[in-house]
Amino acid sequence: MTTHKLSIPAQMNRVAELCDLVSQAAQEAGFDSKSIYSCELAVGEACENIIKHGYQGESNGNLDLTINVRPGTIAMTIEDTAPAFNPSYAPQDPAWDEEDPPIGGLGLIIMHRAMDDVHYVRRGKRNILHMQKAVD
Amino acid sequence: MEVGVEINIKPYRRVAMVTINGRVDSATASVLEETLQGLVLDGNRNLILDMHEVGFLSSSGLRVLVTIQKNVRQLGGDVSLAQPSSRTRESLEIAGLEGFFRIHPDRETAIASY
Repeated sequence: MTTHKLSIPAQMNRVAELCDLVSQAAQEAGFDSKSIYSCELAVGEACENIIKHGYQGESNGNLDLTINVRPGTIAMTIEDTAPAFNPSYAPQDPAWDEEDPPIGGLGLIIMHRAMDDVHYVRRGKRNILHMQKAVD
Repeated sequence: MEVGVEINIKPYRRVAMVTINGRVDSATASVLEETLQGLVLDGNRNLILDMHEVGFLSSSGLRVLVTIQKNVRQLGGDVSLAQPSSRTRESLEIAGLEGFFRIHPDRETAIASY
């Protein structure tokens, strides 16, 4: 197993750095380009949610990413010190009108569709989001 | 590492072509939104978004696209996508939005459709 770690301040223009590390790790796991992008999207959406709703805006708090890579699987953990906030609260998968899709909630839909498993825990003063995906 | 977004606009008779290059996420979506809303306020009802150089399209970017499409449709117009990158297509598909935009294989076909 290979482990990658990166911490960034909770600023939107830094999220791309985490996505780049995810891309690298997903390639190591042997994912195809579509799955690599799915992993990047999921992490990007989670981070944007944490910044917007957890930290209530850009702040000096951190986003701490840990990625564990095994052949065919990737397990990612994002930790933050915002007040208790679950960035993955699972929406009901909507059956919306194709002619009138929703404007909000797309990030959560993307996160859950992109990954095989998404779950959140609160440990002490830290929010911990786990996401996992295996090769199809 | 790709950060930031570059937007170029070229007007045609019945449509404005907007070429978007780079990363569209929470850090950059507002720039795209201001640009597209500005075009609508200037009287443009039909927009083609050339997205073949879009390397990342998050829900923030999708939100802008959906909002502008809804706005122009109320005005009798339309937003379509020209030669979207594979990542653009994947973002649309994973969000369930692939049917909300006409998609053209190239710029010329897109322009001719208006």
